[in-house]
Amino acid sequence: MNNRIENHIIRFILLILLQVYVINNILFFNVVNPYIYIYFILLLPFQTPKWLLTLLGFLIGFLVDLFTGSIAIHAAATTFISFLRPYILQLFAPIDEYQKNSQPTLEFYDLSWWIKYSLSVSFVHHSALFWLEKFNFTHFGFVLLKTIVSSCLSVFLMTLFQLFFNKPLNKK
Amino acid sequence: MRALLRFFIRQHNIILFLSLEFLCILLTIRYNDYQHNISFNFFKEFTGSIHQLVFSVTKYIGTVEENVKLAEENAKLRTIINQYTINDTVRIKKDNINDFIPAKVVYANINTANNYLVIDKGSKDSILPDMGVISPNGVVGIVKDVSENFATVLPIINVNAHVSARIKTNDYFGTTIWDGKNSTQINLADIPYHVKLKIGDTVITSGFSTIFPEGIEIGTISSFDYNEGNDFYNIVVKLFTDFRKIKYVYIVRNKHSLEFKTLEQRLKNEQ
Repeated sequence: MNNRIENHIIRFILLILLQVYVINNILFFNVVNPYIYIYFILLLPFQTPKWLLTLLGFLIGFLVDLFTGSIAIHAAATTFISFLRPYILQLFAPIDEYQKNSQPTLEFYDLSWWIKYSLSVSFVHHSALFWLEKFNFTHFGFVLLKTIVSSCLSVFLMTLFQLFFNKPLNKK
Repeated sequence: MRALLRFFIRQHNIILFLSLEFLCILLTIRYNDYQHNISFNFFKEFTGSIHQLVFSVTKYIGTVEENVKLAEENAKLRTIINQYTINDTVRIKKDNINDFIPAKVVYANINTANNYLVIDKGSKDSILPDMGVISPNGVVGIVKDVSENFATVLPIINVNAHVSARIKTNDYFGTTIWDGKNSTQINLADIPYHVKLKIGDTVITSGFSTIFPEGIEIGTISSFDYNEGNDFYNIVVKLFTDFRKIKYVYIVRNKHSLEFKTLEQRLKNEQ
């Protein structure tokens, strides 16, 4: 899969539609609610300027908010993770740094890196989202559990996307 | 200016991030009823607790003044009450004989045999020696010496202080004596042993002098006994006044005190 701008735009639109019209309508035990639209942020190229990353994060979150009527809750969470993404990437950087012309996908990096990367971003995103939804700390344990289970499911789904649309590293 | 500009350029991402987050939170609170209510209540609580804090500090300002005012008002009310005494269900208005002057105890020495108190009223406030001193709980003592602004008080727990006292239930009277040991109790002497006594009987002032008005409470009988061959009881009276905590007192000024004394003096001269 190449790294052209059209692909990112198409992914941007499809993920919002998938999130709003499919995933949000599936209730997993009333507790689990995966958010897979952050896949767009995860897959943005390494070279994306930080300010653009922050802005795009805000944009996708705000669009999801417009569709779901939860103005600015998703936007707050996605702005947060897109701001943090460069630091999370730095945290899990391989010894020889990220290669030029590589992308943050399973095509270039192995599964354990992908899981660590996507799980941290999902966890931060879901935490921010669920706390903003609750807006107080009374059900701490419940929200924490919801965050953990939901981010695991989100990572599972996003890994499936990777396996479908990106050739994994070991087959290369 | 240039440094500021450079700062903005260098930190553009953080500034962008923070302003977007700020915008998001504002929108969240503005457009979601649930979050709106919670934050509204939070800010109400927050400002409310600040109001409370400010009040809890400022309410003590002026407490001293308030206390002085209340003490003066109490003294006035006591003067009024003293005009009325209940005597066998008939209410008699007496002459306004006694004034009560409020005072504060500025020094209290109560751990020796020669205990004394110092109060903050003196000859300037027309305090004279031999005036009675009472507290809201009961009898305190007698003014001993007066200077311009202060007066010393011999409390009833001084070995040299004696107050004429009476048992409220049966009207037998005696004199208080302090043995110099326990500052919470005194002895009541001169009660003949044929009198029926009960533990818990109240002891009051007799009113046989101009020092104290009649009926000011002293304490309750906590124990009594008598030795063979002695005509009088040994009565221990537990005091109402706690001398370890004494703070505000009233000085009793009897308007007829001088007249009474001259008459008494004349009698003594004749004898």
